[in-house]
Amino acid sequence: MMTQPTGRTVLVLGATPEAQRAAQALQGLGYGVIPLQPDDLLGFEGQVGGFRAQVRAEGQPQSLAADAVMVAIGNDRSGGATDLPRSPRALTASQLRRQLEARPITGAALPYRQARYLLLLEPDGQTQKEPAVEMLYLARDLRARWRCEVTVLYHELLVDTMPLERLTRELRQGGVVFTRTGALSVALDDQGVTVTVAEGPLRGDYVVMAEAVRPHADAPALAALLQVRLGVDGYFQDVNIRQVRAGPSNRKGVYFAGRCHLDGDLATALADAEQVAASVDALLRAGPQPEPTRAEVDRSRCIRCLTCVRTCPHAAVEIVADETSTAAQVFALACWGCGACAGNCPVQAITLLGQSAPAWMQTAEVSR
Amino acid sequence: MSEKGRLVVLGCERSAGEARRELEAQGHQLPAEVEWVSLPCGGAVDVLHLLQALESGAERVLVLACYTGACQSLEGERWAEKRVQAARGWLREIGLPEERLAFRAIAPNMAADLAAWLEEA
Repeated sequence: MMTQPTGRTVLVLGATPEAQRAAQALQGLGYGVIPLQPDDLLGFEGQVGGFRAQVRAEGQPQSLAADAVMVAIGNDRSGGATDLPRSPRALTASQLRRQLEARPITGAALPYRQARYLLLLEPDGQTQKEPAVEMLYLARDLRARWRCEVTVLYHELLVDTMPLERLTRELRQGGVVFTRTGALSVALDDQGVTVTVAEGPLRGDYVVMAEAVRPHADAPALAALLQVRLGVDGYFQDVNIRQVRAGPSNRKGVYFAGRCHLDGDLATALADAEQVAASVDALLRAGPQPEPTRAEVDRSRCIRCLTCVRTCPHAAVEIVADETSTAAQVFALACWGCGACAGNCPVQAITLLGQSAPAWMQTAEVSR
Repeated sequence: MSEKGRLVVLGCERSAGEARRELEAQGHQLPAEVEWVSLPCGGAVDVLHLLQALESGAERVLVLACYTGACQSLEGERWAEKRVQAARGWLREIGLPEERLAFRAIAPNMAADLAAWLEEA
């Protein structure tokens, strides 16, 4: 069945599996999709339903119109623990994965078979879902394909998502040993590797380290350009934990999808991308509507101090010149009606439409 | 009406408002001396509102906003708390008891706490 085109366009930032899944989902819902690498975005302005992006396309600057934006730039890899000596017996998860997937099987892969593996699940001491799930899939494949002895060493291993819960149960039943450790030390020699934990030394042929993930290197610059927030952990921050819809940023019409805003494995990120596409659809389908409560500036009172522009958490206020004056303007579609601008305005030039107030809460005359 | 005098509550609709609705759903009535003013966010509290409330005869003013990190508009609770602190400073300066203005963080599921605060405030 053909989906009726909505005539609306979404800018999808990133070249990740979740960006691709989001683009597919949006196209399936009838949206035009503009895929873009984050470093090709040069400028960004406007509001939901009418964003304008200055982009670099084939080396040339261009201006594009979009109704909404989805950030799906993923995360970055740190490449595993750096304090371990370089040795053929110390592998990162991706090095081992390459050996496991090598076709045809070469002589170089033979020593890795039927060996004893010690898997360090959390080299940085805390569970990160994506590398943890990847390591557990490695443990499964080492057992199933190469009949290896596998011990998973972990600090906390929070099995609070379906893939982790299912995998750990299956692996335990399949003979993989899980050992909880506190501080540990790794010693490598020609014959193998010794990981010493509180209970004593564990001997193996290879030690494999999960590769920790970290926020994408482009995240800070992109957040500044889009005027959206990063959390203290450096990942994009959803506007509020109580939001029913997935992925909204503090700027209406800008959404986050996948591993740039959540700690999850790839399957979780892909499911999230579909949910965020549904969020975008819910916003755009009937056309963006102004909130019942929203701020409005009395232009004759405004002293252009920029306080509201600075303090608006939703990038909804700008200084705008018309025929008669230059003053702050709140964009109705972008405003969430929180009143931060009104509370901050030093001359009480901003009122909240649709907000009832008792008689004593009158706007006082303020000298200018 | 209790002897404590009128209490004006300036409450964020998303946290305090939810807690109040929960309280009422449980069959509790707000005490008669409480005047509840609903705000879209703690960030909308102006210092002027606090002083106007006192000027209008309120004995005490209680500002209720979300916990840090729970504000839909990111920092509304921070603005609210700063303004209460600023207004308390002014009360101190003119010799009025600063305890007449108070700030508390609240979550939507804190109906019982809300009831206690309204009784004791």
